[in-house]
Amino acid sequence: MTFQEVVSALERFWATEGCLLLTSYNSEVGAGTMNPATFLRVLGPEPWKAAYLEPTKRPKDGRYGENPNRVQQFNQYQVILKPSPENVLPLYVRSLMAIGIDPAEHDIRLLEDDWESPTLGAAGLGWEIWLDGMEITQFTYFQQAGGMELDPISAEITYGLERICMYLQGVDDIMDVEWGSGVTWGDLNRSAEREFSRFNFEKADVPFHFEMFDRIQREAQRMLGDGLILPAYDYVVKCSHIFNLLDARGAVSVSERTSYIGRIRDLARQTAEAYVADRERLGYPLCARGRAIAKERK
Amino acid sequence: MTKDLLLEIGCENLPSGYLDDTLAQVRKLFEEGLKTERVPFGEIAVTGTPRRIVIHVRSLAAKQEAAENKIIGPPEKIGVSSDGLFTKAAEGFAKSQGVPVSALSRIETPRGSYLAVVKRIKGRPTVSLLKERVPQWVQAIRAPKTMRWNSSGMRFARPIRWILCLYGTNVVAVKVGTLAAGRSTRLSPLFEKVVNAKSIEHYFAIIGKNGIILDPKERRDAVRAQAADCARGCGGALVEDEELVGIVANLLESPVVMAGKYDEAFLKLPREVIVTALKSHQRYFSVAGARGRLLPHFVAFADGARRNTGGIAKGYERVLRARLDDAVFYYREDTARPFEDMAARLRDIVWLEGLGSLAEKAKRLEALALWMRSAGRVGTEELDGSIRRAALLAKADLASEMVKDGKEFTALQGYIGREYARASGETAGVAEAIYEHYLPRFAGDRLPRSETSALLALADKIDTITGCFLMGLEPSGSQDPYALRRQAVGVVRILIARRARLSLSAALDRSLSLFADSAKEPLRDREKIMAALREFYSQRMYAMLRGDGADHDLIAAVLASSWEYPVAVKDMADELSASRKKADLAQFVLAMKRVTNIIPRALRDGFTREAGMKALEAFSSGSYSDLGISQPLFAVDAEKNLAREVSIACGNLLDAVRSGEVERSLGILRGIVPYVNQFFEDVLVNCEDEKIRDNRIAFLASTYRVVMLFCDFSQIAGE
Repeated sequence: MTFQEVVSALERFWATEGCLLLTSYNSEVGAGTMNPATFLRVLGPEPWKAAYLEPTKRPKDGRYGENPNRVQQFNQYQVILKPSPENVLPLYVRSLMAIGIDPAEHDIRLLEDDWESPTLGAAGLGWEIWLDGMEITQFTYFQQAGGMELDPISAEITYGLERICMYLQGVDDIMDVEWGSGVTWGDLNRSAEREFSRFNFEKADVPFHFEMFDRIQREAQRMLGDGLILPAYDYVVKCSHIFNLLDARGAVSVSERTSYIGRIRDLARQTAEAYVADRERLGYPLCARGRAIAKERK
Repeated sequence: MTKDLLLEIGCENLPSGYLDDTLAQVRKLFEEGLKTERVPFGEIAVTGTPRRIVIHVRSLAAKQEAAENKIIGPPEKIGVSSDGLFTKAAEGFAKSQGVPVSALSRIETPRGSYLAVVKRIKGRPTVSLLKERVPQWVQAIRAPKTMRWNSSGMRFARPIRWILCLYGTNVVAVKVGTLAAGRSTRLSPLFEKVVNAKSIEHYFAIIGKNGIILDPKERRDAVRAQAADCARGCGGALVEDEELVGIVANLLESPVVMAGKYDEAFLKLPREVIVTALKSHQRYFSVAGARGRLLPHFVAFADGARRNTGGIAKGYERVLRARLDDAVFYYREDTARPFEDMAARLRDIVWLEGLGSLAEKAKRLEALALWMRSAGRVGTEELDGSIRRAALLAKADLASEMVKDGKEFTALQGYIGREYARASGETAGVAEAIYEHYLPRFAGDRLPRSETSALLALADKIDTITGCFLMGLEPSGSQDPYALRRQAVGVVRILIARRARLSLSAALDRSLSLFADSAKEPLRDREKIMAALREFYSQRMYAMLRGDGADHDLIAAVLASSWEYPVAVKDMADELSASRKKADLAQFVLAMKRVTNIIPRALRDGFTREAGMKALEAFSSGSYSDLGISQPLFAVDAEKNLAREVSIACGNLLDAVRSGEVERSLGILRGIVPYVNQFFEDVLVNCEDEKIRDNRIAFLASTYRVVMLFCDFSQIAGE
């Protein structure tokens, strides 16, 4: 299966299971979790089922396109199920069958993994899921986001698409993964890996980015003051990426690290709280919508 | 009538590390619960895998045993009047218990005869009791981290997905959270397929047929045996690792072994790097050939038999290759330049926030180790060269690609340093000291062998503890994130094993000075921190000696003295224990307590080692006036005799203290016991004449200070 075939098979599978097929976020994120379709939607009581592809940027992981396993930008397929259904694990296994992985022929293992995002004030319990010894998915029952206890609990399934494709296609180098029509991952992304690695590690202007961080943080704060929650969240996400970039650049000392993470977490918490209050003010529209649809079906 | 009870709690995979403790808790909850509820049973077996906790109670009675509940009311004297009628008090009591007065009975107690109500409690059917209790017992299971997964309010380590509960062949309709028990089990939470168990025997047959081993011990045995077989099949022997056996056995329920290979070229990596790459992430076992050298094979376990074993093993190999590739990348980067260059990078690595860089720590290590070498008269100046070199390089591997930034190889700190030092042409002694300065890493670990290693190991641990205390990072309760307790025990163990005559207090003081030298402002509360440090090491020594079996009061007595060398503390505690065993401790202690008790508290407090040594030296040279004692004022023979004997004893003690002969010291002290006793027979210390009285007290106080160099006898109990 090519990369794009895997993506469309997952889309078909999760659409059949009642997920909304959404799009990736339009700003740099370090994980699909930061897309508001996850981070904000898991808050509050409204039901939510969504699936989307998320290009994920981790400046520190770049290797100038020379490491067969490590790159600074890769793709996650993110599924969020709220509330988490009783049969969520069997569902996941069926999704693997949809991309040609037969559980009767593979060792599928669940290894405990307590996930935590200090910048988002989010935490959950779950597993990394191994396929014949290789981690292909991160599975998490969200317990907390934006510093708030969650109810209902969402299940988050994050597929590592490149790894899955390397396995399915039997290639040892990420660059050799076939994206589609004979074009490889490397054909598409090798230059980007080289250029961004140079940028992230050598060229990014440090004082400029520190200044950006400060100004963007202030803008997010100002927006929160004006009750503009979604614009504020855009800027929280930007802060997070700039921090990751400065970190890769080696510009953040150990002692500064904690304080920068704290600043982002503080914004994320305020945004989450404002979002919850706003949904309540709106009368939790998706709760009513869910009931109406259920009635119609009956 | 009795039947077996079976309860299976089906979970999504529990963390491997939680399982053993969870099963122990469940056993306790059910065993004690059934006993408390008075339901007789035969045996109880609690087993489990990451996906199921299985409780099998044999011969469980169908009914609770009946019981009597006695409620005691007023004394008979008050409840019954002289003419034999119940009083108001008795009526009130009967009413409060909802019975007529005619139902009251008399019972005898040690305090006399009382009125009482005896209520008979009939036994309930076990099944109805279980429906009530099982949910409570299940919810009482604790885990280090728990989670919610639905709106039932249940918390557990991972979601509970099914409950099977059979009493004989009948389902017990227990409800846990929103889950109703039934007779179906699942072979895996990954699949929706359920299998119905007709009976308890049938359940165990299903489990067995599917290769599931319920008992963790049996699973460990299976993993160990299969791994050893498989390694032999690869033409080598398993690199045994009980920890890994335990982890693997609790990660799966039906172990299926498979062998895999990796490229021989990887064998150029240091052995532990390979073993760690295999173990820490992938949980594979290593295979060794002749003379313990690794073979390029590994042994891994899948959970459950699958059709495509060859394909699975290929998958395992591929992942391992990526991990070993990483290790090779690190190794090449690291060994491309001399090891010494790495030490220079320590300037940029923060050791602990507020305590400077690792380079500064290395500097302090060097200074403290050199100081201890000379103060403790360990070896000769010839050692100083290798101490300097080893101190410079001890932490250098923390700047290496292999170790830095917290990854699986970080646990190999010290080992990597040794390997790189060797590769870089350092001497064997220096390389070994780099490795050994982390020893002992855990209780029962071996101690550093060479003098250089030991000095560096002491310096590193003392420095870490002092630094943490300065930053207010001392352990509290169960919190000890920097493992300071373990390190303090390490310091004491090394000093004792080497019988080092190195004053711990002086070393702590030196360590504090080294921090003070580099601090921007003078240390605050230096005295307080020094006292806290000494107390901390004392507590660790106490725990260690208690662990060795010494009595509480003997250790406390020795630790309350102004001790200097940990080895002397241990020897003294051993001597006192031996003396107690021979039953000749009593008269000794009694005499010493008489000295202590007569001295006003003000004179007892605040003794120091210096004061004790001063008294010891003054007595031994007969310089009484230095101690404020006037010899001419001694009036009675008994006190003249005691003074003479103390003088002689101190002469001998000075020698024994210097050479650290504890048994001899105690023998000398024991020699003055008859004179002490005679003194207290004949002499009235608190006499009328103020001058004579003060002189006697001054004499006894100095004697006390000498004794306190060894032991605070007043803390020894009951002799």
